[in-house]
This record gives sequence, structure tokens and C-alpha cells, in this order.
Amino acid sequence: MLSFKLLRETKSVLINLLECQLRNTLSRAISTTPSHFKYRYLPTLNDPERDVEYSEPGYSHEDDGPLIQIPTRKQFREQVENIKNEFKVWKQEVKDGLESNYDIIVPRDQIHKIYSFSEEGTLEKWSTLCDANDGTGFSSCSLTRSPSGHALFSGNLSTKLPLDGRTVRSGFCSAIGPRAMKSFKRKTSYEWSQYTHVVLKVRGDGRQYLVNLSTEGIYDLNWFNLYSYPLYTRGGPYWQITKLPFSKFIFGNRGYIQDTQVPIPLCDIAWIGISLTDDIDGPFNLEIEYIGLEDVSSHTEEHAYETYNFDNYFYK
Amino acid sequence: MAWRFIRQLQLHACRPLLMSGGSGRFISTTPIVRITESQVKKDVAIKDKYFDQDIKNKETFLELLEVFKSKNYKTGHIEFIYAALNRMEDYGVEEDLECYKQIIDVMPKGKMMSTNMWLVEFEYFPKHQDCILDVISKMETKRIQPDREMFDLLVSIFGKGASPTKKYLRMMYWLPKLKHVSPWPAPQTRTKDQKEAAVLAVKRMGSVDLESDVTVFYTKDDNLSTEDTWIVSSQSPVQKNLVKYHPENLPMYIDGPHRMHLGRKNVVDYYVLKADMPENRRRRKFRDPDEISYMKIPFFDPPTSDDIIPEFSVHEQRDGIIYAISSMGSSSKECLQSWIRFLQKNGNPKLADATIVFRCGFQEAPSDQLKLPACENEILDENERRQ
Repeated sequence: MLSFKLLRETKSVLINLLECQLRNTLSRAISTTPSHFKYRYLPTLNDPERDVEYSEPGYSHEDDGPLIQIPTRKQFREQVENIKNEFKVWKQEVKDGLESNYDIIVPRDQIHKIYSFSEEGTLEKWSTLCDANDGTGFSSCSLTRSPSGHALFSGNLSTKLPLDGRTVRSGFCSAIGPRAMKSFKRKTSYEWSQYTHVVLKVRGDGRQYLVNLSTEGIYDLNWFNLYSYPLYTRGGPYWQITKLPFSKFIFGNRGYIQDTQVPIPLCDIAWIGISLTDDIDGPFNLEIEYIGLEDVSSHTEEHAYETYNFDNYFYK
Repeated sequence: MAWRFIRQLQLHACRPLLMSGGSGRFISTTPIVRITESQVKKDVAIKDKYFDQDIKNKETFLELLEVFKSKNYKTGHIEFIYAALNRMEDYGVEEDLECYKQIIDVMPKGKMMSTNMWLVEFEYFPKHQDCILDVISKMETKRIQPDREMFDLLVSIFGKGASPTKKYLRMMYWLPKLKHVSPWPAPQTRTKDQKEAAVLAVKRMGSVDLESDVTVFYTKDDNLSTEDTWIVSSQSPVQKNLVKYHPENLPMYIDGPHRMHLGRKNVVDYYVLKADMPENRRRRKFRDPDEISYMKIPFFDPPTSDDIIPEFSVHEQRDGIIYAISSMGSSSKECLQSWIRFLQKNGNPKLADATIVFRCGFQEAPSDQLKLPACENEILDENERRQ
């Protein structure tokens, strides 16, 4: 059984290795196209080949800034380095898998910090996204280190519409946590089904933020499934600890609340994020100390919203 | 030119389209392409004249709608409704539920009713439904909760199963559910004056300590001040005690102005009187009293003098001790000085000898005017070029 598991793991690693790493390396080594994709944030959004619709009405990607040209030899060396590091991660994974299944029991009523921003290396894994990134608005945001040593999600929200003839509403800023990944850039998901609450220690400016949990599946139909719940901030110089129960998270797709609400599949979380979409123009500041999970023993609710159906109400 | 023609087609079709553009492949990803601002201005140029009135208030607006209804036109309802929607801000009625109901009432009754499931599924009178959907969507963005009368109106126009009625039902499920979720309820309209907002904001900030005492001082009462404004200040007995034990060799700071939102319409700037943590209260690593992941076993690690520290009050935050919070009518140095004098009179005699450093901008631009990053200006230029 164990050997079978190991074999399967090795096979998937090798396939990924061949598919992603070597293909990228070779294609970059051979092709003549500029290799700036790796050095841009979220390459799929700014990819001129993919997003034809934004480049159509006079938008040129040349204005985005100078492209970084990297010598082929350097690229190749970097890729080899990457593969080495991935092997190290994989080795650790195999070791952990053989030792024990340590995630089964979690202590109750204790906050398990998953992202503690005062620690080194946590903030760098997070990224930001706003509507100006894909040309549908004029907001700007950043996630930096605050003077007191925590994460500071700040920027300027703008509901101004770009005159591109199709955008109707705009104004969103978001900070996105790292996607669950295994070695060799393989996608996995976080396993949080032992917990009941997500806990945040924040210091805000009185605005209403959103905590988002993505359950990004395999099919493109599910890519934009988000479970969200508002995070209200008190404002002022004092910190607040907010516990949001998973049972109350609202299911939406592309920002639209869905009619059929389902409990969040906690074994399949891809990433957690915080966003601001409250339609108020102006600057915002949210200081985050940590994001954690907790199993609250007094919480028994499974799902807060009605799940029954009408029998053909609309057609009668 | 060809692109513009395709775009026009797309706008008029109001349906998702699959078409190939200049670059080989182009797939419209938006589910429904709505009529844009520029397009509406072109279409409703005739109806827009209705709203060029001298007196712009709610009565005039409702009267204009009444005039249009009394004419019993057979067409032109959509254009008139879009014109009315765009002009609501001019008349100051964009947050008035009655006006939205009267706008929906412009649509003819009975004629567009979906009476069976086929009409529901294939969207009977789709452009009219989209138009009313835009009206309800605008209500949603303005956070206006519809009422039962609106439901009757929608049912009499489109029927029970049509998409505007469905949208109404969704709103009536979610809006009341999430209306009172916030633990800090705030006024959703603009307050009468800035002082009222400041009092609410300072109360909300001081709500961490139940003993917090919010008082309003008037600079008229201060002999040394030449200004005539108000100061809303919050300080609890615990904070007064902390000021009492403030070490004399360390300075205090006034930080600000910081910004705080109170509901959707009010913004309050506030100042904080604070100080750094004194050395004897500071730990090498600040730890939560409830945090048990760093717990020591006393047999192996006997407690040192650093470990025994009285429990922290809520005002002793990690980045300093907060002595008082205030919000004031003017952000001048003189006003801040009179705030300190008022605090001194009200139970903080120690402030007379303390060194207070002002870490705030007085004559700078208001905090809501952030300097925009360069990339935004580039996009703006891009838009101007497109026009």
C-alpha cells in the first residue's frame, strides 16, 4: 500500500516536472518571444495573447513599462535551481507522509495562526489585485509592512468607470493569500474541516471589508466560486479580534450571491483573501496582525441559510 | 471603424455574442452587455429634455413622471426611464424609495406580463425587463431596501416569475438579513453637522473600555485660545491612571489626523495622545496573555523578573499607550493645545509638566486627497485618447 502510494506520487511528480518545468525552460530557450511572463504579477491577466478584449480599443501593452529581458542561459540556470528546490520540498513531503498523519486532531478553543504577518516570509507570499490591473477601474492598493511590524493593506478605492463601453460598476481592491501548493507547483487544497471559525486580528478605519474563501475547482465553471462574509472594523487606534463562523459564509460566483446556498466545503479551500468593495471613494487602511483558525466548542451551527426549495413558485 | 460597428451591434443586441475580431479570436465574456452611459445619452436625447427644469427637487421630479404617465404613450418608456435614472442625482432623489417606485410605475401594466413558464424562460419583453433590472440594481448599489408595494407593482407589470420580480425577491431575502449584522451600527445618512458625527465616532472608538467618558469641550471656555470650535474627547479612568504614572523623562505624542469612516456618508478625522511603552513595561517579545503556544515549564525555566509584569490594560497596545482620543472642528495647533489644557483641567494635572511632541500635519492637504500613483494617470490619458 505504502509503496503504491509512493509510486503514484513519484509518477505525478515526474509528469509535472516534464510538463511544466522542462517545457517552460525549453520553450524559453528556443522561442524568440520576450520572456517577461514570469516577471509580471498574474501573467494571465496582462497576457496580450489571452486578453484580446482589453487590448482592442486603443490599449497598448507597450505602455505597461519596459519588459525585462533575461539572457537564456540565466533563465536555464534559474529553472535548474527551481527544480532543485522543488525536490527538497518533495523530500520533506514524503518524510512527513511516512511519519504520521498529524493533522487529524486540533485542540479546541485555541487560535491556530495560519498567517502571522510579523513573521518573516509571510507577507511576501501574499499578493494584491485591484480593478486597475485588468483595466476595469482606477483603484490602487498595496500590502506592505506597517510601522508596527504587521501587514498594512492600504490604497485608494475609486468607483470611477473606464469609458470602455462595457464596464458598468467598478471599485474593488483585494489582498490574496498564497494558493495551496505541493511540490513541483502542483495544486492542492487546505484541509480546514476541523475548524469552525476564521479569526482575524485587525485594526481598520471603520470601513466594511470582505473575507473571501475560494474553493477553486478543476473546471472553469468553479474558478470564481467565492464564499464571503463581511468584516466590520471599529476604527481607531485599538486592535480588534473578529471571529467569523464558516457556517455563515455566503456563496457567490463572480461576486454575485447565488440562490442555492451550500455549506462551504472546508476540505477544499484554495486560498483566503480580504477585499474591499464598499463603493465608498477614498483611501483605506487595514492593519492585519494575524489570520487564524479556531474550533469553537460552543458553536454547533452547520449552515445559517435556508436550503429548502419552493415547488415551481415562479411558474404558477 | 469596423470595430465601432461591431461594438454598436453588440450593444444593441443586449445578449452574449460570440464573434471573431481583428486578432483572430474574440469571445465576449460578459453575460449581458448593458447599455453604456454614452449610448444612453445618444438614445435618450429627446426624453432628456423633460428633466431640464429650473427647480430641481422631489416634487418636480414626481410631477415630471406624472406628466409622462398621463400622456399614455405607446412607446418610449425605456428611454424615459433611463433619462430619469441618470438625472436622479441632479434632483437629489437618488436615495428616495418613493421616486424609484414612481419610475417603475411608468411601465404599462398587464401588457408585458409573463403568464406561463414559456414566457418566463424566454424573457417576454427582454429590453423592458433589463431596463427595470437596471433601476433595481441602482437601488441595490444605493443600499435602499424595497417594500411590499414595489412587489405588487412588479407583479402587475411583469408577473411573478420575471427576472425583475426575482431580483426583488433576492433583495428582500438578503438585505434584511445583513442589515443589522454590523456590531457597530452607524448612521447611513449624513449627520446634521460634523460635531454629531465626531461624537458618534469617538464613542465608537472608545467602546473598547466601558468606562470611557466622552465629553465635548468648547474652545470659547479656554482663555488662551482665540478660536471658536468644539473638541470631542474620550478618556477613561484607567487612562487617567496611566497618565499619572507616565515617566517624566519620556515624551508624549499627539498623532494624527487619522481617518475613520462612520457609515457610508461620514468621515471623521481624529487625534491620539499616546506614548511609547516604558522600558519596565516592555517585554522582549510581546505576548498575548491567552497565547499558550510559548508556554514554559516552570521547573526547567524558572521565572525571571522580566516575566512578572502586571496585566496589560486595553489601552496599552503593542505600539504604545493610548492616553486619550479626540476629534475637533479645526485641525490647528492651537486647537490641539487647548485640548491638552482641557484634559489637564479634567483630572490629568501631570500634563502641565509633560513634554508633548506634535507628530501631525497642520497645514497639509486634507487626508482624503491622496496622491494618485502614476499608473492611474496613464490610464486616464488612455481614456482621453479613446474619446
